[in-house]
Amino acid sequence: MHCLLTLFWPLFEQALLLEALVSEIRMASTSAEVYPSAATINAQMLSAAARVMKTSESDTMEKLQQKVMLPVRKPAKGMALFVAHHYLKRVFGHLNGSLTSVAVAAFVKHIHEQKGMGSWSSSPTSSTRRVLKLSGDKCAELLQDDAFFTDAHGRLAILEALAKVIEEIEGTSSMVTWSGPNKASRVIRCLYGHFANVSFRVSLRFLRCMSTRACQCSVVAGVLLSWQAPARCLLPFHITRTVTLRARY
Amino acid sequence: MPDTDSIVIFAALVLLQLVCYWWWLSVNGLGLILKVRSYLRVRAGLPPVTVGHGVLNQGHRFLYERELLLLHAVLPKDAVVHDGLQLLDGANGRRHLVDADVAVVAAAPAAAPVPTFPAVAPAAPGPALLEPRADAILPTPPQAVRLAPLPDGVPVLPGSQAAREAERQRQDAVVDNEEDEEIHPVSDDYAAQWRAYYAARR
Repeated sequence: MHCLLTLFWPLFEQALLLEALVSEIRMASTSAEVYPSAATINAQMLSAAARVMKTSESDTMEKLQQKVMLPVRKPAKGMALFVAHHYLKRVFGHLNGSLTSVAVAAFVKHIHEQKGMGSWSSSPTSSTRRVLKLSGDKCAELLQDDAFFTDAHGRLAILEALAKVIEEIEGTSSMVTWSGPNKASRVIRCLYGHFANVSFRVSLRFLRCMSTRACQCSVVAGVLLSWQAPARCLLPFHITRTVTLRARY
Repeated sequence: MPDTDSIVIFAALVLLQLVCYWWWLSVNGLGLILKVRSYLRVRAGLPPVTVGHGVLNQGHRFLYERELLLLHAVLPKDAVVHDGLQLLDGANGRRHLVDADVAVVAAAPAAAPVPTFPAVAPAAPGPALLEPRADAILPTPPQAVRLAPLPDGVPVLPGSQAAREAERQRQDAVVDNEEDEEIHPVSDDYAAQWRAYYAARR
């Protein structure tokens, strides 16, 4: 088992890197740092790899540029050679994709409840999955004069999306507070950049929907997000592994 | 009668060869087609296929930086709670600037014209975009790849790619001289493209 775990060190490193990136977004000190730059990602990747492999940073850098054998989904669950750091950097893409889908799904769901925009339809691929579709015209209407975050309904919806994204980066306890009688009103305390991070995702998706004339925002309860598996599930293994290693040495 | 081992080995070899062919085709064939397509799109001045598709990646950081600049005029400039939202660095006057040096570097190529796209509609009342403020400089989208001019002494054949490239560079030079002073907002160009695209789809 240990041998197997050591073989797949890039997977553990993906998990660690993901944690590091999420905390980087959450703990950003200025607005510009909310979207991590390439330099930040490289530094985080190096430190995560050094922690997993227990080697110095120069050795780690060399190892990251080598090819490693890793499991892949295509072709048919086989193994393939990857340059290690390419494999690791996918984490950022996965995180980005999941943040976008969380933001857009929350926004569209809320705007549908408030203004009745969009319509539910069943997905052709699955009978249990329902899809909320927003037409291109509606997207254009929302983009007009930045209505998606300036008018009353849009503002409520974008705040909802912001709260969902903050939940996704595990910042709810530090950024969202409830106040007033009965704890009824929510106050989100975040950086200017966190707001921009959400609004640019939503607007970009709407621009894209304007061109394809149909926005698909699949909303299904209890779906495991792409970046949560398998990286997240592996994290406990890594922790137990480090604990046993520490106990041994 | 051939023994079973040699049959098994022969079958394995055939299988291996099939897998190799399939791998070769999928890796090199598709990759080559993609490369050709993206090259042709770049030469035609069309926006890259990957923008706005799939997951956001590092290439979208400039869109995020643009969003920071655009939102600065819209969001309240204080750190007070407005309707359930409090911007912690809202009172900071430099909240929308990524880095002073970066902003200056990004401003330098701003005078170069963005590659023109076919079928840009005349200005119609479309989605209103904010006028860029004097202190905020919008970063430009990445420039299309251009070929370097041929070395001196090499004859330029009429109708060749090199001739078109030279023509394009001459046009660029003319435009540069005329409009060196003002910086064009990138957003207008994007808005025009979207309007044209939208009108064409109706």
